[in-house]
Amino acid sequence: MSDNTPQAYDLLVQDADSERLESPESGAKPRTLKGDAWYDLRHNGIFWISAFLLVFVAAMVLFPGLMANADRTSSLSGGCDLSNSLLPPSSEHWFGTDQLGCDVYSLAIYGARPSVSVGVIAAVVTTIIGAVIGLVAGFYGGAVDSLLSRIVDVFFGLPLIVVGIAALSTISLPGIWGVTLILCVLGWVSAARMVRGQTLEAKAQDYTTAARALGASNTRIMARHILPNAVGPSIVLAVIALGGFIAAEATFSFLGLGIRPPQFSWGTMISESQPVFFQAPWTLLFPAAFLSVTVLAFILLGDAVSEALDPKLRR
Amino acid sequence: MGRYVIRRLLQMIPVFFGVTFVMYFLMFALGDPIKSIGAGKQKNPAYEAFLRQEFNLNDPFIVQYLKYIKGIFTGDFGSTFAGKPVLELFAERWPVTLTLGLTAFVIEIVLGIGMGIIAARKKGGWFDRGSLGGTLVVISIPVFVLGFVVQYVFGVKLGLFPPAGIADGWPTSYILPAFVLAGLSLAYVLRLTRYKLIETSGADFMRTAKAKGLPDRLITRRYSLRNSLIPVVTYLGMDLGALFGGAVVTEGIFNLPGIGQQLYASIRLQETAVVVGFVTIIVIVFLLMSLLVDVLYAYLDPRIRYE
Amino acid sequence: MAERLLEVEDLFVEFSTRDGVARAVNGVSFTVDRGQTVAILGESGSGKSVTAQAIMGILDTPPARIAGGSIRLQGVELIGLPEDEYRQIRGRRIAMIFQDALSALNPVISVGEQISEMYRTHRGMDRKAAKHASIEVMERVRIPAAAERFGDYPHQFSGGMRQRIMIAMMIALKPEILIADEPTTALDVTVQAQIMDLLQMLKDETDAGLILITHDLGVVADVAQRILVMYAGRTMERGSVDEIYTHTANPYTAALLQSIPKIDQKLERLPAIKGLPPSLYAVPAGCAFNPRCPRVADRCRTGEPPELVEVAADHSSRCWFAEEVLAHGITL
Repeated sequence: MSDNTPQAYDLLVQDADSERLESPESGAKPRTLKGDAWYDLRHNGIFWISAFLLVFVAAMVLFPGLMANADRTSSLSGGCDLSNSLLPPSSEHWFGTDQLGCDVYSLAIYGARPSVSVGVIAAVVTTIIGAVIGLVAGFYGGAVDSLLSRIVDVFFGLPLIVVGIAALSTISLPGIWGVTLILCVLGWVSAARMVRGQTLEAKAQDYTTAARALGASNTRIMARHILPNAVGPSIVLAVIALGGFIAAEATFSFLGLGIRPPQFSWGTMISESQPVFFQAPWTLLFPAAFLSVTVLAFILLGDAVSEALDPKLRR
Repeated sequence: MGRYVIRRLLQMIPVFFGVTFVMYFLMFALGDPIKSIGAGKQKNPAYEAFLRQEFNLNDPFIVQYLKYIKGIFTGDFGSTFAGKPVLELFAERWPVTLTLGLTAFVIEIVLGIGMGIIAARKKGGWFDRGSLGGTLVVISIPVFVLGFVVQYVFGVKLGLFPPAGIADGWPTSYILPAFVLAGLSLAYVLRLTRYKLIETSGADFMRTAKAKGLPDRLITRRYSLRNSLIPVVTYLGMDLGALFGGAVVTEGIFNLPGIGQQLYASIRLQETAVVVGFVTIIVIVFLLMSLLVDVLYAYLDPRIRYE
Repeated sequence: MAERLLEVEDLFVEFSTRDGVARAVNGVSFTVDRGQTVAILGESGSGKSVTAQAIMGILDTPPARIAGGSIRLQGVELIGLPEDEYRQIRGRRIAMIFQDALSALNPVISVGEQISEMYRTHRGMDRKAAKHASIEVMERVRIPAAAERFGDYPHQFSGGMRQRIMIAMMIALKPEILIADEPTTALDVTVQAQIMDLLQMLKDETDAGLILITHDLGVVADVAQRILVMYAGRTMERGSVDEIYTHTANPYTAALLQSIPKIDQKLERLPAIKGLPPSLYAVPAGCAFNPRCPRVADRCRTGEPPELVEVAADHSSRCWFAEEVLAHGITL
């Protein structure tokens, strides 16, 4: 082949694609990884359950006003009446009231936004940071890889909760931003490791060598050959990490280090319910349930997607 | 093997400095610890000045950091409000956390791997599905929620175990908190064991083992487990360090006088010296554990030794 | 007449998956005698490996299922044999060498220990005696410094050496039948020759029967006496190598033989068989090879597939035009 411009290379790839899996006469539909994955996902009951739950969560985060009344969350707006303190669930207050007389149901609904947003932002940022570092380290190898791997090792050696506690107890940023920052700074390690691994694997494959032999530039190779391999597992990792970050935020808020009053999240609600737990368990159980179900939904989704993408778990 | 260990040790050195630097940066550069330390209690400029001196905050950052490192090597982590050296406090609190941690560790190994093996063996069966479902629930419920619920149900309502304190010693007082602490890790160990066993069962060398006419038990031990458990063992090794994080919450809920509880209390009191000191020690222990785990991994998987 | 060493008769193996039922082996029969090398030749998906695994009894059932036929080792039926009896046959009386030694060997156990396993399991030897025997067999397969390398791991050897280790492992107990599933495909050409020589030598030493599974016509010509050509799970042609290579009676075999580049040919394009082997879930009606056959006619596309018929002494072919091909050959 005399023509080694990228266009010729594209033609080659197209040809290979068309006779990839089945001979034309066979009549069976060609199977692709994405197609297989979607098939598996569609038929997986768990996927639909988690999707359903997440629609609810999204609704709580984006349109809390549709589901609850903001006034009932704050004594400032006159919605909380101290004389209503610690009432059990009733038709007036579906989830009962807390010590300040605020409606637990409304609090739980509005508490979704800070909890989930922290998780989402942290998941997106850490995945991007991790992917970039992993890709660069794996692709360029050598000294670059050594340096970046040392940095990964350093951050790996910082256990999230413990170091987060130390950092958050001195940090001067307001609650929710402080937590988000800490999570972003500390949470990108698994993504980096994973993407680096995928990059190394892809780099060793013949198709990468072939692309290089055809004159493809580094960026092109990275974008077209290596990155697509990492996308699937990255999504799985990000989704599961999301669940983890929401739980981490809750833990920090529970310890009094994250989101602080007058802001509230599920974590703060649980924290504040501690002293009155035995008398008024609803103050803890409802936010805890919301929190757990949300985290569960993300993990289920991540699990379902990962199973769909993993050929090894096939029957 | 020896060369591998030395290589890892040398790699640890820059990592050690990196870790301590990032920690110090996070704790002292992003915020002003003086404002957070009991400043609410004593808005006394003289005291504040004293504290700044105490924490070297008047020095340029690099100097602060170096003094901090020096402190680590000399065992000087500062003192509590009452004047007790932090290191001493740590040593006092250490046994409880160690007992709790080891108990949880044993639970997660025995139950996690054991149930993982059963689940993999009867893949698709009720035990398998139940385990998968159960572990998902445990993973989703944050430690502190789980802790409360377990404490309430088993400690208060059913009265099976003491809901708090270490009055009854080992194992009675430690059972509930150990299970709570182990919970999350157990879930991961179970799933990982199961996944790896299933993955290994499809490997080519399994087919070879069968073609050799080897007995089932030998195949399970030398081919299936020996290969599947390597990643599980490495996970367990790292988990030992992560148990510290969960211990903070668990000790707080069950009122066990360990490191975690002290950390919890010091956060509330804004006793920064203790928080910083404890966290530093914990992280260093974690680093050492990682090194041990790496060595263990190389011992178990000969392919790693020659990288 | 004494029973043959190994007889495979009308073997049918099915795979049930989400996409349907695939007939991986569709009525295959052949025999193997002492000291004889039988080659099973075919493209990917022809069913040759599945046949071998069925003989060994190591198919994953489910999704595989032996749907019919008989496999007899010195007259004793193997299909349906209880597992603990079959286990005593595997490795000891019938052994199998796999294609990729790196993935076929246990990565975390030393090669010496893996060979020792054979002695300890089947002969009840203790660790020391087994080690001794293992080193001996390693030397037999020409692994240099065998005693020192006993404790090394598979990844520390080159491809050729690893294959020797696998061979050592499998011939350790001097089995009566040795099945080699593409033993040289993953190796360099020069190493290939060495390995094939080694296999020949070992086979001759014990008068074992060798079943060689391959897609390499050249290797077959070198070492095999008899050949079985498979396509889409069916036998296309069967007979002696000499006979078939010089006077083939099947278009598929003829096409295969013609597609080998010959050094004295001057060509613009390499002759190749157009198309690809069919998916086993959608085998063409009539003769399975019809979409790609250079001699195809209408009767090949419909109705029942042709039967396997004898066209000469000990030479069978499955084709409506077998005699014609035998007499006049074929052009691609």
